[in-house]
Amino acid sequence: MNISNIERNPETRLVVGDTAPDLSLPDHEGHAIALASLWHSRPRVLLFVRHFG
Amino acid sequence: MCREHVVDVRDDYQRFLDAHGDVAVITMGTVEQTAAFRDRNRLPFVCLADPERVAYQAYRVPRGTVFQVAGPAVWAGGLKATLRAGIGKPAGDVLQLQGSFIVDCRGIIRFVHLPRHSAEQPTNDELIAQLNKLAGGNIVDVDEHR
Repeated sequence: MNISNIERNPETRLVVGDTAPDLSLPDHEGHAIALASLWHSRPRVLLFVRHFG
Repeated sequence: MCREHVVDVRDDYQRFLDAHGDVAVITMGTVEQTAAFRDRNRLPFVCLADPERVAYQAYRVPRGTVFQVAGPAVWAGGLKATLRAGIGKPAGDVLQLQGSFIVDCRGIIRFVHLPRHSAEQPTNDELIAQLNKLAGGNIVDVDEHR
């Protein structure tokens, strides 16, 4: 199964109760931020933007 | 989750904080594009750059079909954005759809919103209600341990 199929298949989607994947991404200044550090102190809304528009 | 919605979240950011939550935006842009996006829209919250779509894939944020991205359901809600996507040069993958999650302090996903088309996204009220529910749930947890 290629990535597109995984992403389109609802059965493979994350659901409430799943552990949130933790990985590191650069912020707007290039500093690596671990996602887990974002929800360490309070719940975090993660908004994945579709495009910049 | 296009620019307009991120700006809406910005305008309500204090309400997210008041609900004991916080916000982070993940973009498909480079660090430089993400910095420009954050600056241009005066976003006060964390903005992360994911040009390789590693997090998009880890969170299974779906890619759409052309119909989902630019079909009739989109015309009513997001004509401007769709036109921009067609005419301008959007960063990243134009078929990539948006997605919203709320993760609690234990790293558990407590809310998922994945769209059926590119104009569909949760309202701020919906997200804030979820945060308030989580804050309420934490109080119940404390009560249960007494």
